[in-house]
Amino acid sequence: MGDEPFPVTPGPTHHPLMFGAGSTPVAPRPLTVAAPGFEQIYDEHVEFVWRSIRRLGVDDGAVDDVLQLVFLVVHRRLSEFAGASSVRTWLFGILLRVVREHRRTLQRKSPHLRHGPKSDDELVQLPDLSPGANPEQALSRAEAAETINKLLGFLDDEKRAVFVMAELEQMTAVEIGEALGIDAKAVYSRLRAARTDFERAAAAMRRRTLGRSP
Amino acid sequence: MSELSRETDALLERGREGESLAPHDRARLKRALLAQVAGVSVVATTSTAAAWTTVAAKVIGVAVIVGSVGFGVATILPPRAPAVASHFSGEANAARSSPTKSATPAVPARAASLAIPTPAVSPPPSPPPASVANEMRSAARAPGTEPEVRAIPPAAAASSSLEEEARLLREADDALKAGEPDRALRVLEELAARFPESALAPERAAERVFALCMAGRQDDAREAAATFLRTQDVGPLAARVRASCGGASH
Repeated sequence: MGDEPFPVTPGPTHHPLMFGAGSTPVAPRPLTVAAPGFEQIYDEHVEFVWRSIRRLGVDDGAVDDVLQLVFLVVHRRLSEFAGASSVRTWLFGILLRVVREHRRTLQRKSPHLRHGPKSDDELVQLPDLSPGANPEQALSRAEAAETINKLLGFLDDEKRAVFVMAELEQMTAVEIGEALGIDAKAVYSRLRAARTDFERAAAAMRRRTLGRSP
Repeated sequence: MSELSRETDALLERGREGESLAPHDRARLKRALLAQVAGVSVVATTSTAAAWTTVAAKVIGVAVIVGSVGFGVATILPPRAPAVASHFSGEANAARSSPTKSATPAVPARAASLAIPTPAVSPPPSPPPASVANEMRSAARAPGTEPEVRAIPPAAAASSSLEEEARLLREADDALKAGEPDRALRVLEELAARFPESALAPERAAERVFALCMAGRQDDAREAAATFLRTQDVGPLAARVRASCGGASH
């Protein structure tokens, strides 16, 4: 009697979860890996966060403010980032929620504002830009990016987020699922639907452009 | 099927890297953010001084968002979910009572959480998985860029000097608010000596102008303002320096 079922030897570098079942003890991960510096995350990912906010359809005038909010949340939650999953997945999950919250705030302030995917009627407002519209002069990268952002406006929020992560950031189904809290199967089905909508808008834009070409 | 056409693919390929943040904006956003993280009120994110009231409101908003984000993180990190939820609801309350300070680095909280090693939940699979977009494309096509699944390399105390700096700047700010310009000036001097090449140098320099004004040292304030405006002549900070006793209009 008196024997403890488990030896109680707590120490700064000991934790039961540090050892895999039946395997040799793994050296504890240095704590610094679990807590990357805030500034480092900012420097490496600000560009990604910035363009993702734009791609999710936040107005130009509000992008800076939304970006600040995203990183304020990141700063507060830094200690929870385990360093095990992709930083970008984690960041995307945060920025999606901040963007959603931003929309809700706008809606409360101006209830007449409608947010949602543009209707097909609005396809005529798309710019006369598409690859092949003028084969001699290829679309510049900035113009292509602008066109993509306009086309994204024809997707609803859910599809838009999946499309941005998959097609523009080239993230994996697992990463996207993690960011959105859905399983990979749902990611595939949303992506298929998103592609259909995006393609329809892009095709309409091309038809219109070609119709005007000499 | 919902395959993208060749033209649409070409458009995506071309536009994927088409947007970038101008270096000037990047630097400006970073300074504003660092100051906000530090809880220093000398900086404004947007172009009007009145923006600060909205920033305070937003910080309260952050606390609310933090609550909802917590749920998402909890689904990724199940072992720590309960602690996470309670920790952040407490912080949200704190933020509500003191909005301008709510962005202060939570150093003790972080230190506490560091003491418990977090188990790796899902180590990055190897070999690197194909992005879902490419995976879903026809096999005939050449594979696209490798997806970026990067874990952040160790960064020992990457933010410690920043936090110390932010703390000092906040101390100067508090001194100024308490009507003690001389104390503010002493702290700002210490800051300048310890972090001469700081990302928060413009905030420090502007704060010094305000402190000199409050101390009644108008000539010194003018000189400091002129030095400041030589390098920073646009932006909300410059506007506030100009409007101070050190500004040209006085």
